[in-house]
Amino acid sequence: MTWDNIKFIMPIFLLSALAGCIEPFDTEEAGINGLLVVDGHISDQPGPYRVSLSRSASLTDTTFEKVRSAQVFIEEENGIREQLTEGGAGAYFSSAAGIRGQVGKEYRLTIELPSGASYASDWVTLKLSPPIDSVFYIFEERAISGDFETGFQVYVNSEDPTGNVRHYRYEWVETWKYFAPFPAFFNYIGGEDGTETEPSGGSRFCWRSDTSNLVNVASSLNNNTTRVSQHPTAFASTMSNQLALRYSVLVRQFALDQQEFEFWQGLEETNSDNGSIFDKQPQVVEGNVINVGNPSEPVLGYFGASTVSEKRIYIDRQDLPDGVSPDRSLLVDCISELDSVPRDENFQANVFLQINLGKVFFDFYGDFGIAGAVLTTPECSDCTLQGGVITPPDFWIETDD
Amino acid sequence: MRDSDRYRGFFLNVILFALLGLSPRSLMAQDTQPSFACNYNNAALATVLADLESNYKLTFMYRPKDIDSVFVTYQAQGLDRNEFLDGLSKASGITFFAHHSGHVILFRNFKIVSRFPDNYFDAAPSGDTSFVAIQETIPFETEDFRNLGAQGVPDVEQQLIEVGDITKRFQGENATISGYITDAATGTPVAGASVFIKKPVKGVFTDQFGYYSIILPKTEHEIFFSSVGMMESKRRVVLYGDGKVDIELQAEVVRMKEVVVFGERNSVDNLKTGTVKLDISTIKAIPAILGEPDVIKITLSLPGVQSVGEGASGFNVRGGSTDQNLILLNDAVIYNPNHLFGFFSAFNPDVISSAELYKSGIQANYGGRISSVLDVGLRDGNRKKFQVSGGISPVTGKLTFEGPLNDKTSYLVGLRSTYSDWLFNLLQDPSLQNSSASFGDAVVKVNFEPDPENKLTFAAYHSRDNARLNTDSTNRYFNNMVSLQWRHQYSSRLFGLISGSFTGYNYNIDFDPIPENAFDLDYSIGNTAFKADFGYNLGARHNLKFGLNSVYYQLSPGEINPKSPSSIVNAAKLDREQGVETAIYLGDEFEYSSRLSLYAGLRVSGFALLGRGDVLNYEEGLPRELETITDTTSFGSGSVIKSYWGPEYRFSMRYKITNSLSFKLSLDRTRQYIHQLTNTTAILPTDTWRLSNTYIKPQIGTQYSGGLYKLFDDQGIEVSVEGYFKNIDNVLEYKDGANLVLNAALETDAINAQGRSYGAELLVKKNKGVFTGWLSYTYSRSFVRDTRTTGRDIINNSDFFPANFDKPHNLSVITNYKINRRISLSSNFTYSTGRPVTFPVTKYELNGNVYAYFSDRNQFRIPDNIRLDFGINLEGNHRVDKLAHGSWSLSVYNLLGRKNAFSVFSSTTDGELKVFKLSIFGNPIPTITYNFQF
Repeated sequence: MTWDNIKFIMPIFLLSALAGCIEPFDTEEAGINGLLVVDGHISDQPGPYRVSLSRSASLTDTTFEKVRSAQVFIEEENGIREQLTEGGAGAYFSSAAGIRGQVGKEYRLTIELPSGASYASDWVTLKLSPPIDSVFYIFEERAISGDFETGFQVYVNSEDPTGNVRHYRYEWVETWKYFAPFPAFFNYIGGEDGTETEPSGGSRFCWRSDTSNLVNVASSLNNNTTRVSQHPTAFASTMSNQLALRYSVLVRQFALDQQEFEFWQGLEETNSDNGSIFDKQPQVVEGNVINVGNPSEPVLGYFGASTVSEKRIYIDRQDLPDGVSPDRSLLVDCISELDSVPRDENFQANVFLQINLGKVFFDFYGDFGIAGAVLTTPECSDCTLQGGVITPPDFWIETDD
Repeated sequence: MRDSDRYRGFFLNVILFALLGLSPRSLMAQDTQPSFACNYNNAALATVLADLESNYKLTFMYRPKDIDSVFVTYQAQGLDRNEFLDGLSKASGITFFAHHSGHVILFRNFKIVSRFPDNYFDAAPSGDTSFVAIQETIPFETEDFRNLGAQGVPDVEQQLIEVGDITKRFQGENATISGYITDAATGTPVAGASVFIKKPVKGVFTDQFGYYSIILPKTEHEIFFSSVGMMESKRRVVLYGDGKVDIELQAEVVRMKEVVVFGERNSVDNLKTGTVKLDISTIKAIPAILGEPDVIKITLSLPGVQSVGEGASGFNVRGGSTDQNLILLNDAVIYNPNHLFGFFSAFNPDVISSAELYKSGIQANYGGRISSVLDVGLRDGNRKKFQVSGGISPVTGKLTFEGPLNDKTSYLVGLRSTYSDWLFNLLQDPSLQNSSASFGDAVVKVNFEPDPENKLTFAAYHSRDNARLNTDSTNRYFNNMVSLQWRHQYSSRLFGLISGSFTGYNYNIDFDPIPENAFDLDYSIGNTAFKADFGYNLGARHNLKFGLNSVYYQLSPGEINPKSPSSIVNAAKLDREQGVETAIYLGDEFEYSSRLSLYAGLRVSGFALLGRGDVLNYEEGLPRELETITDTTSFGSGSVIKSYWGPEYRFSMRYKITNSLSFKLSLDRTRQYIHQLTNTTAILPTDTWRLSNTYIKPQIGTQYSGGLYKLFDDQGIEVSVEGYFKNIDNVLEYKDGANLVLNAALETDAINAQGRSYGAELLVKKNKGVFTGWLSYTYSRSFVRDTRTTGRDIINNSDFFPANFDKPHNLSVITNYKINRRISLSSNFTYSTGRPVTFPVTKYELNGNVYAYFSDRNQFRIPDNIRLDFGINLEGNHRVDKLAHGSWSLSVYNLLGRKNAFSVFSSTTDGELKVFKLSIFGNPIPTITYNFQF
């Protein structure tokens, strides 16, 4: 929060607290659907660069129409112009060995739709994003949907000593390692004494990744230095399994010029409306692409050009303050849902009955020999059911040493 | 009053007119007539009176100081009592007034007297004496007066009062009667009381000093004096020439919270269109949110007044924006009349007397804002006894002290403070448990009346708000006001009101989440005003008002400073602004005939923005953008950067079709040189005021309005229908995403737009009986248009679009039902069309998230608003002489518990765009308030 976008959150909180309530509201608005949405970016890294074309949808729609069979070009001023190839619904890619951005040069995007309509972005200069100074984290409490949430707030410090770059946009990719509480080390395939098993695939540990999708911009324009200080980005919450074992975040920084900054800031302001009459009036946010033949047609999205600076950090569960633990609700549920099948004459039949009912074999139990089997639910046994994969990503480092 | 005074202690609440040169037969003619004789040679009058009291059946009443140096030489024999006293009067130079109770009252220095009804003393009045109207509150000693009880208070209402110099009775057809109306119990002026005659119907109102002046034909009249909560009084007057009649009105014994809109008695006769007066008792009777009666919220129940929503600060009058209301407290402007971001008004209901709202027909003495004037009057302190009153509601505690300092001076001190922090502790939301919000205000008013011709009033006001939000930012804001007024009565026809005031408003935001980003943001505005207003009765038909108003503005439009040494926030400061606004005016109320009255006024106002200051220059012919700035012109200290002036004409007329039906028209042209910058739906305490400059032109309003007014006097019902059309030039509108804080190039974000509104208003009021109240219905539309033709961000293609407060249908029904003398029920029902909102027209996916695309401004509406509030007022024991009076108010806000939409908004959660409705006060909110007075 900087001084030029202070929000008066208090009145609305007070209002709602006094007796307010927020309810879903059905609308039947006659909207203007089908506006072209352009999402593209060029950096100094080798391609392929991706440009996505889609259309806006009515408020009640659940999908967005992709724009296919368009002719999409990235053009360097006084330089080469490369046509992108369609590599999926509405996604167009430059070739890996093709056009590559250079700092200080100007680029633009041109699009020709099958309908004949022709679009072009403004010329944008590829800006050099300075290296990220530091990414660090502080254990904090924050309010979310009327409740407390604790976790690590991840902050960025950045500075452009040349003074060229005053605005930044941040994206981040969070990756965390978590576990299933009761993974089976082998699968039960029959018998009464535990000899008839086969090794299980083992989905005890998983890694899950999430890409930020919130607009996150920062500016040093109102500071007396070119520094952006303690700018909040990701939040690793104890209310999820993000801090179950080990968490990592890659913060990516893009340099913005004034126009692009205003675009993203407008998007941020307009879409963080909390219903307060103390919010700014929503605004029309249009990007830097126009319909060449009809400049008044609204075109959404932005074609940006900037190098990307990145920094990755890791946070371990052990970094949590004493007495604070990550979300244990799954573990608690899993314990309460454990079933045991005693080893009797119907043991095998009973175990299979449970498996057919959707339970998953976990382990045998018994101090001296097998006294029975313990079954659990799939969610407690297989971490992939919580959205992760069982292979660590390439960059993953298991310990900080 | 000294103990030695024989009439100490009790004031007879009437005006007595004494008769000079008592006619012998006029005194006690009905008594058997003893023969009077005496022989005094240079004897002290006190001795003489003592003699007479012991020798004859007489009681004299007088102030010792009046006669302590009077000596008489008087011989008489064989006279009847009246002849005898008449002779004594002439010999002593003291006026003797023979009261029919048998008391003889002595006055010194009184030139006159009155005549009783012809047969009152069985005698005709003497006709050859010079009559001069006088008025005096005659102090009687309780004991003396007690004797009168059996025979009844002399009925002054039946006495025929002679006003004016009888020798001039044939000079001209009309004369002026003027005087002061005061509250008999407290001695405080009764503002807004009506003074009227019924045949033909003609009336005036007292001003804030309780002063009135009415021109009547030189003949006999029955003059009525009335005010809400007061017993109506009347006087029979025979008018010979200019003179004074002062009146003390008795409060109604039970201080019922009766809903009466007074001042409207003459809505048929009144020359003004679109004017409503609200008495504090009206304001207090209406159920209020959390038990805080609120002047500003009540105005919303009047036709033609709107707001953007419950709990929003500010109000919109006939299509005007919130900064176009001139809000006056005791005649001094107040910039932010709100507490707690608009939940409550900043005016403590216990210290105000009334509020008057002018929506049109604004006379030339008012200026500076273009849409309305809300004139809030502070009441005077009790002039007769020390008094403490107070009240406790769930949110605030109030305490008021008042009383006389001496017989010429009274004071009033009113304090109000919240203890609303407990509300936060109840909240479930953890982010708010660390928050706090408090407010308070204080009023001091001192009245000094050295003599009847001069009145001095000193008033001071302070309000403060302090809100700490989730522990990382603190918002504070303050209003300050000091004013001094001097009213001088040059003659019964001419008075002057000279006043000086200083008003300041400032706010401060402390933001300190971490030391590196901590800052302090400050804003302040100072308003130093001088006013000289004069009123002159020019003959019977012309009532002139003229004067000079001047304001010196000093602004610090914004300053930000790092708050800690390690803070990297840039210090930034906008240039201070200063400017002078001056206006002269002349207005004439002209009674052409008993049916037709006209008002014509001209106000010429001018404004100069003074240096030091820098003006950015933009490329000729291009839209004003940061990119088109060419250079800067600097102006030195005190030099004129930019000036504007223009005429403001005001015109109204009233034509009475019958005595109870009239037709009125008015035209108002108004100019405004100071503007509040806001691009949120509701105004915020941090919305800054800025002066007109090279690019921000003065706002100019033109309003045409007219109406029909009908009085059904026997039922006490008044009906009025008014319509208006209004155009506003140079209303401020803002580009999308405009930044209004610390913006040195404001003209790149603000544009001069055009406003247009029209509407029809119906008001039905019932003022009499156990069931009172009003119904108001308004149909109105308000639009704004971006007048630019070039630029890439033209709003809605330069078409008119609905203003934020454009709510076409508005219905308010306010009722009050008196069950008995101690219990009354009140209710407030409102219905209004939902306000316009800018709503997403489509959604799209970008970078993995879903966003809404908003199109043209204000093209959709939130659902309609319906609310019913209910209240019960319980008076305690209402004996007048009881030491302490207590009363209870129980109110329920939103009795129906309807979840009215406060706003409708869209929000992206988990990649999905959802539309929500937010309602506040969605449940019935009961409140109990206790008020006391002793």
